[in-house]
Amino acid sequence: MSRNSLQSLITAIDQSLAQEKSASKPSRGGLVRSAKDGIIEIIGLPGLSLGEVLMIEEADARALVMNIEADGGLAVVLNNSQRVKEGQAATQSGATLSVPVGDEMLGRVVDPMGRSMDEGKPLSTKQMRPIEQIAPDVMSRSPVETPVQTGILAIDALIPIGRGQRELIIGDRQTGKTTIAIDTIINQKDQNMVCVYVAIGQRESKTAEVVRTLRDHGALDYTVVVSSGASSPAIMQFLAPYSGCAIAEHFLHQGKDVLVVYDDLSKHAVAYRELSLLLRTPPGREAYPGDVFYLHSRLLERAVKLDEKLGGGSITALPIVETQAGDVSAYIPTNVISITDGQIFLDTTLFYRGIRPAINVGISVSRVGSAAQTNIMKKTSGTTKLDLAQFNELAAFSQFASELDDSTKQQLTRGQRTVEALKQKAHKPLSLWKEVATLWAAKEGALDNVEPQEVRKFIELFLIHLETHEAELIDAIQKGQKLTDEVAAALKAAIKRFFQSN
Amino acid sequence: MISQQVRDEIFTFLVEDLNTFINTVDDVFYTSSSSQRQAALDQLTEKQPISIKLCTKLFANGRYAEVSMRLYRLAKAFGKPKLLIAQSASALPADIRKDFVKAAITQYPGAIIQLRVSPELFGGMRLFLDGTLLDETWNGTLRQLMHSIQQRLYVS
Repeated sequence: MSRNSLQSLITAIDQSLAQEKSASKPSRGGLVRSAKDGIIEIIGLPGLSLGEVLMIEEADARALVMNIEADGGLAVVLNNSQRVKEGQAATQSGATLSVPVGDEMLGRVVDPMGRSMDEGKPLSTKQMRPIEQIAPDVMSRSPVETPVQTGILAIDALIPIGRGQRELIIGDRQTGKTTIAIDTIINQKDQNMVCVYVAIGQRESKTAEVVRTLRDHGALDYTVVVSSGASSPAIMQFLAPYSGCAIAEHFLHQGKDVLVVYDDLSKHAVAYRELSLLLRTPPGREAYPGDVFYLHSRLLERAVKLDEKLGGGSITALPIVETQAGDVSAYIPTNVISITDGQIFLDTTLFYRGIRPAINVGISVSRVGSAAQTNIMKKTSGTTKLDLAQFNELAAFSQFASELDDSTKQQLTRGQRTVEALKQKAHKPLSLWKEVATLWAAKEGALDNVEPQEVRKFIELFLIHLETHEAELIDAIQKGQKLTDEVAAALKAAIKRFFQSN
Repeated sequence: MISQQVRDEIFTFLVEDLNTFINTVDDVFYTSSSSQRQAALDQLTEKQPISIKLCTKLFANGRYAEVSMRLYRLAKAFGKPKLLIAQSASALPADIRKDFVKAAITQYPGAIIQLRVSPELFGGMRLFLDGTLLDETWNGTLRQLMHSIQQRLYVS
């Protein structure tokens, strides 16, 4: 310590001692009666409010009030839980839990309290936003009309997602749920969209992989990663999605479009169950507390397309739910299905048959529907979903039939090729023109004479051909986003030229 | 169904007589047998009605911390008691304890008193009453001093 700093320390001590009053001022506080498993019981402190932050100065800890009784309550310790002991004083902060927010969070990995977790310098955000916020009311909202281009053909064509929508991604483990979400984030480059990826109860290695993938594809620059890993306390896992949503709301109120991925809400519900049981809430179905529906509804209701008067920003939510053995009728899946505006169901069987993304088109749905599709995609995809459903039915029946008529054979051929055309590699999202061209080729029957295993190769060659020879057409699709007669004619001509010469 | 008058009588007994008793009784009381304790409690309720006598059965067992908490919970069933927690770094001497309890009961009628020992306070006393905290401990003073020095250093 230098002489100057030592001198200033001595001066500060002298001044403090001189001004220190003998009688301390009374403050609002109670006593920690018990501390166990990160839960503390406070007595002698009436007038607590839910979600309030208590300070335990002796332990340098903070606690979140989650249960109120006549003269105290139960609170969950947010930090330094090992240092909290019985007999310490807990004082009221008078504030609800807030998280630092700011534009400088883009490209960073933070914990649910907004502290940086990556190798970057500490964040110096000045603004704070409450973690819990009432969702915008009816009059503040606008209809969902603008599409979120996921870059995944099967989704953009058959289950379109709009800006401000809540679309659930549901499926068993290892079926590609996170991949769909990550691909969607990757595809938002240059699409004027901010992304927030919330990892809840995930393995740290998986989150690190996600961050690496986003960085490798240049997607981390417009993404905030909120991570609460499997080893973090249940309270942090419980707070993570609300914290992510608060960060998203910061951008929303700047009039920006935000995409939030909650990966995943099953683990979030498990963390909340753990907390609730420790807080002595009576267990209900599958031992979840009675308010587990509200847990997710209040989070997902914060997804919104704001009215133009309020800036016109939006929050699109992509919650992920993991099912066990494809059981979508379990408690949490049915809850989240009923809250969201549709679901993308990923099927293990399809995944192992090599159909990836393994989207089960039959039971996947988007309640916003074609309202959130560009004109060109709406017209191109047309009856594809219905055709695929008919194909699946026919394919099941054809296994028993010995002879098939020509029209059935033709339907089966077309269906097989469409299924092949919808296959896509991970982290290779397609731009709009590529999606339209692929779907158009399948729909027009250009792929009917191609062997199923050759379809992907042909499509890739076709797209290269378009890129090198049809720049004007690509421009018309990408910028105009409308299927005019000229565009349709040009597409037909391009397909004819390519498939006749090959 | 207990009438309001009986409820009030029980409440008054709990927050005044029994409250004073369990906080001022000699430490021997808490180490003696159940029958000895019951005998001491019976002496306290000699002239009281049967309903009050029955209440004291709950206090014939347990350490001071359990008994005082039990008293608070029981009092809550009959009225709205306030909880006055007095924390000190070491156990108060018997005479000081008696004076303190007497003064507290007079000053804060309807308050159940709990005396606690917390060596981490180093010295002094800390009072919690109905959400108000009055910290006059060495620990609290040192912490306050530390904050104020930090603030001064930060400003300078």
